[in-house]
Amino acid sequence: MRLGRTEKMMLEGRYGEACKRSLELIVAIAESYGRGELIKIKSAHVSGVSYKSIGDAGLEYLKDLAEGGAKVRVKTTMNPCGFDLDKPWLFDVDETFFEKQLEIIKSLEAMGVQPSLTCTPYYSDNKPRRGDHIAWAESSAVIYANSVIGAYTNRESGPSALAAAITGRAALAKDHTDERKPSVMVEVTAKIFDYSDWSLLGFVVGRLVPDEVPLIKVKGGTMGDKLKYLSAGLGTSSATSIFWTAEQDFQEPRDLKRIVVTKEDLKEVRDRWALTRRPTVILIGCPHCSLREVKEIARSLKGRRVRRGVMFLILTSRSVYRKASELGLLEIFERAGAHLVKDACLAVSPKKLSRNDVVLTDSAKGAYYAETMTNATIALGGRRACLEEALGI
Amino acid sequence: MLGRGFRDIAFRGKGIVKGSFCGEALVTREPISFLGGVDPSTGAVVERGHELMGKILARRALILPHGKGSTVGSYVLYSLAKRGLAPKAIVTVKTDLMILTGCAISGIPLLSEVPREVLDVVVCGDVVEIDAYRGILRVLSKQE
Repeated sequence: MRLGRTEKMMLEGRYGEACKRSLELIVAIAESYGRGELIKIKSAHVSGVSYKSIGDAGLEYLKDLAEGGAKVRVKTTMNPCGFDLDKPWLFDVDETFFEKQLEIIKSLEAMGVQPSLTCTPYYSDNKPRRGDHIAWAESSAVIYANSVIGAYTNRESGPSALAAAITGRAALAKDHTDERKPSVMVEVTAKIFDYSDWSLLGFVVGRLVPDEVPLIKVKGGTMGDKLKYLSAGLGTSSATSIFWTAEQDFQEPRDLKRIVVTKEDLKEVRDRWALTRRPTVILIGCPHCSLREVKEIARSLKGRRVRRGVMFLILTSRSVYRKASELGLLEIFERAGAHLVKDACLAVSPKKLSRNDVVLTDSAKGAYYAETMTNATIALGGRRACLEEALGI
Repeated sequence: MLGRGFRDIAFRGKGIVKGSFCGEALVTREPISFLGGVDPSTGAVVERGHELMGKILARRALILPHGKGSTVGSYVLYSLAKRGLAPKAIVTVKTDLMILTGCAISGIPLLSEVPREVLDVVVCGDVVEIDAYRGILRVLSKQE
């Protein structure tokens, strides 16, 4: 493997043990999955933040790194944990869990990782530019960064993204080159309306072609927050790190294999996740809501109240929460009895959901993880249906 | 395989995490998940129905097809290694990110992409020499 001077010094241990081990990991990945080369990165985003997912072993590793003096060399943000640090009671967090979670966040912060606690760092905390090489974990953010922003990142794991942050280098693999072209054309004949349709479309495409790079053609075009939901759905059911849309500027490869996604394909999954009973938990914000979404939801909540017996959770990032607070939106949520929540992801949360709970969400990713990780009944509905069920209108 | 002479059974693979080890082999045809499948306080395999159920991983070379399960398994491997409960070397037929990551952050030599026959030829208790610098596994003595 060709290594630069700094990289050789890192491997010799001159930047400390943590940096040495981290680069050894990046080199091992480059040799096994990449092209035996490294690439310098501009930013990183690490996953594996919740104590529920990484446990004592993960905490121990992060603590050792921090105590060993490891520092990130590029701008690095972190994924959500399992609860809002200011409202832990909403998520059945006990004292031990709370303490362990704080230790994880403190260890990451000691290394220089920003406590962004969000799966949508690209809204404000960590904004890559088109053409930037980065090392991100969190599949929805990886796909968004590659497909919507035009950055280059592998689909990193929690530890590999952190190792990349500490060394400033990632394994040079296909996702860091312009060879990441479409390998299959997906023609969507189904009509796609709201966010839940977009996340469902991503989920269905991922199931149909889990190892391909899809070129997705949708009538009416694609843009904005919708693509976030498409990215999240696709990341849930596939190993893909990028998709293309017809609007993007690229040369369409000839003789692409072609598949069709019809109304029936979407309906099949929708029927499985149909709402049959009154929801007890309603979840919006998987991935975390943008400021625009928070404003839209606030408009619907104004002057209304969430129905009794329903916990209405709207998940967003700390930075969007802060902006919402500056705009005076928090009061609207409070008065309505809805919970605008930061720092949290339900998929990695200690929140107890029983067999009697019915979770309604407008995200296929949220539905999938709630189904696999809890005993609750899961339903997928549009954002409007979520709001109507929450408010009883 | 390089040769079939009794004293000269050897396999070639790719040294992914550099290092070497000489000692007893622990062989399984079934993938292992370190998260949930191995007790982090003892280093024993605890996955119900697993071929190696109850076996201790420490002090041996673990030879398996590949890892399975959550990437959090990498952290479990790290934690085991710190307590001296992890295998001294790992040999796999296929590379997977969980074992690769675990070995790299824990400094456990990893030899990968070894021909599948290794799982038939080497049995538990054989003494093997693993050289993950040059990418070679050699069987030094066979279990009778």
